[in-house]
Amino acid sequence: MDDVLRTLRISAAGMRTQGTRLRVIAENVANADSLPTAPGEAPYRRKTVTFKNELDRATGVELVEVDRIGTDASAFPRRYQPGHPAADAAGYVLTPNVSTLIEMSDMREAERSYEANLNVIKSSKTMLNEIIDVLR
Amino acid sequence: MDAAQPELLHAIKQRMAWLGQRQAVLARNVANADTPGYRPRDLRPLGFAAMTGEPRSAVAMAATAPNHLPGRSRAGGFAERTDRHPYETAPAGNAVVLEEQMAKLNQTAVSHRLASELYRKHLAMINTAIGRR
Repeated sequence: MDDVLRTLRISAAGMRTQGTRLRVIAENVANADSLPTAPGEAPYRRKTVTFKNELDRATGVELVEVDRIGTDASAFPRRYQPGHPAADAAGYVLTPNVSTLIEMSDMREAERSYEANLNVIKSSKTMLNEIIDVLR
Repeated sequence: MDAAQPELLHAIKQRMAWLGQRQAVLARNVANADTPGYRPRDLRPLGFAAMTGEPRSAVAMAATAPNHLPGRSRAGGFAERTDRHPYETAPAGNAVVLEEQMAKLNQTAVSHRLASELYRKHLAMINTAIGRR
């Protein structure tokens, strides 16, 4: 019974990290058009999330956590728009290195993992109820 | 008739403990479905000898200071193993296949249900034998 209760903590940690991931994806999508305001400035740089598995010292359970929220180092695409205030001498504006398509597929993956964790919690709940039913 | 049969209750108890621990291992796999370099783990199958034999009398080290780590092997736990031949591995080195884990999870839930029902039936049988109900 102890193990099954532990399951709830593990899955809750998994859901929490997927929630953080969704938040970062939302930031990226929201800033997909955040252009610089002056020539030479950088536009919004895409953020990335990595996970790690860490031992929770208090309970002795390995929980998943957000390792760090980093940035995508890939080059900024350029768009020809001479009238823009941030356009350089040649008339090009740097745009954020966010691809909405990638963010959307990432979002689906986060959703899927979230659901999987939720299903684990549901199944554990059923198991706990079965154990309690033995007492009846 | 020997209705009490403590071995049977013991075997069911062992089985349920094994299933509970397996559930925790599978939950960890699912939670780490996106962790780079993570390889899924599973419990070694519970053999007949382990179900009926004496429980392993391993002694856990006591944590006497808050800085002590509990260690990887918990006393009385069943042996874990890392999945050596995963179905597929993501570019980041993660080998968890969610579908596979879900199938194992369902299998665990069904077996758990079976074990708990058997336990209940057995208790009901003892109740009948001692004249209750």
